[in-house]
Amino acid sequence: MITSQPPAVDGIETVAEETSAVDPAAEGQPPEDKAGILLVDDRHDKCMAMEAILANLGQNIVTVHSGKEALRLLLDQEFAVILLDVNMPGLDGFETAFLIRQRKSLEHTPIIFTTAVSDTETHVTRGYSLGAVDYILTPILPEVLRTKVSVFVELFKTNRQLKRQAEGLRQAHDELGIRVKNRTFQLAVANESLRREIAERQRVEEAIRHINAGLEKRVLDRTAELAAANRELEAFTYSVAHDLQAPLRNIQSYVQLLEAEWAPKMPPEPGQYLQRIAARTKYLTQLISGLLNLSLIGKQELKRQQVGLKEIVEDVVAALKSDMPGRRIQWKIEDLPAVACDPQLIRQVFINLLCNAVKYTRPRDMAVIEIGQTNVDGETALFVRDNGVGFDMKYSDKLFGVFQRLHPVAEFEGTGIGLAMVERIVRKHGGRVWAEAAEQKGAAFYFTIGNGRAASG
Amino acid sequence: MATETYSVLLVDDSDDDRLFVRRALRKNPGFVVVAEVCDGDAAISYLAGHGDFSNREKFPYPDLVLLDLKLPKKTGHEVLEWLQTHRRGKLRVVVLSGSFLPGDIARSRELGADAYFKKEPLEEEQQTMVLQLEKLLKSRASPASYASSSPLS
Repeated sequence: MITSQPPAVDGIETVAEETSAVDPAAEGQPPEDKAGILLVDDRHDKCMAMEAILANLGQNIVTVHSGKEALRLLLDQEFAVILLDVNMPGLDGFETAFLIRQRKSLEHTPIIFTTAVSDTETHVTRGYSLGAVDYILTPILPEVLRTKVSVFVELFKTNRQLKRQAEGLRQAHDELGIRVKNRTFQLAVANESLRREIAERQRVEEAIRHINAGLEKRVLDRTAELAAANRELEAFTYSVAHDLQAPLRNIQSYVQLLEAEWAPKMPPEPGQYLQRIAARTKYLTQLISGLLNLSLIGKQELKRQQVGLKEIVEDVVAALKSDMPGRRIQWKIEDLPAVACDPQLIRQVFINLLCNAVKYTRPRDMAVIEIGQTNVDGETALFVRDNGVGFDMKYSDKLFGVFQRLHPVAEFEGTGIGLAMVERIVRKHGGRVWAEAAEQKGAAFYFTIGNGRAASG
Repeated sequence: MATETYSVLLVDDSDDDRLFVRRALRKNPGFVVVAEVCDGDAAISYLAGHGDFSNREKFPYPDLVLLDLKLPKKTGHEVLEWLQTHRRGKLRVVVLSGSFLPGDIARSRELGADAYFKKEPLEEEQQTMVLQLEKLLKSRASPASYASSSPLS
């Protein structure tokens, strides 16, 4: 706390101060937060006195000694309050005030006139009409001066604060506006690119759909082509086999003729040759005949009817039994379903499978042949199982080929058409056929009969 | 006891096939081949007695016609068709063909054939056929009842 006595000055009564310490609230304020107080007085001593009085407000006090100086200063600086002496040489206080008020920006700056008590009457009216807000009468009472000035200082600061806040808000608002604009722009850009992406995707989907449709058509066309080629092949096979039959039959007949009438008279060698020719010719005829039957299956229309499979099997078994008396065969015929199929063709399937079973169980003392049904992947499959010589599963993909055999003809006769025929018939019905076996452990042949939804081969 | 003999007309364009049929029939003295023709037109002419064939001394009307299906000029089926309106007396017409197609068999039956046999090279089978032909001719029953028990059914 610094105590100082202001110098005694004429015209100014000073009252002893308790303290002229700087207001602790104002102390430590950064310079830009201080408000400006403009003192305009030609009397230096008065100025000094006022400065001293106002010092403890802690604001920025600027002193000039003429109206002209004041006006010049006011061009650049902002003040919370202007203390204007009325009596000044040159521009007096009123003239200065008038000129100050001319400026738009200074319209509202508080002006406090300082004047002698004795001049009050005349000056006050004029002062107010010039926009003064207050008067301070000399001799100045420090407390009065301080109080009045601090009011305007506070007002100024509050205003400045408000202005700053308003500015802050405006800036924030502008900034927000900019950010919103930016974000909107970004969204628009993103939207546009999204729209383009969607359009592109739709184009691609459309192209894919188009390609798919093209592919589907090609698949249909190709399937039709293949089906037609297949039919052509079968027709060709049939026509070839058929045309081969007649001359072959004639050859056989002549061979037979020779054998019947001339073999006894022939020397042994040509006699043997003739025998061999007869055997091969017979075999050839069987092959052609088998081929013919095979290709006929494709040609025929499938005529489905409800058929009891057990009756067909029992019938075939009865025929086989009567054909081979002397063979010891245990027949196990289980219950079989009734299915929609072509009875002639399915009969042929059983004939072929059962004949095979009978043939390949010949080495067994007691042949066991089972016929039954089982469930495979949710479908009903029929099977023929035997305890015969079986085969090696690694050749299983050859089983159903035309003229394919897995055993030598000398051991087991046959042309290799039987299973090919079974496969064709089963396929025509929309089913499939397969086998499981092991060498010397017998074989089991399974087949399904489709329900007619699959294409017939 | 005189065994009845049956005169046979062979209709086949293949020399070989006609030879084998002749040999097969020879085993049975009941059958006498009186003529052989090679096409459908000739078969019809023979049966109708046209031209040369009007001489029935030389070309007697047969008891049995063995008819191949695959013939030049007129096919076996066309001959059968003609016979539907021109059959005389107790004439038996039997188809002897290389084909055993169900279609051919059915059509032959429709057109009035009395039996249908497939040409077989083996003698045994040929003799079986000859026996069946004999049965067919011996039974003078009307074609209708025979058709039901012939190999055609």
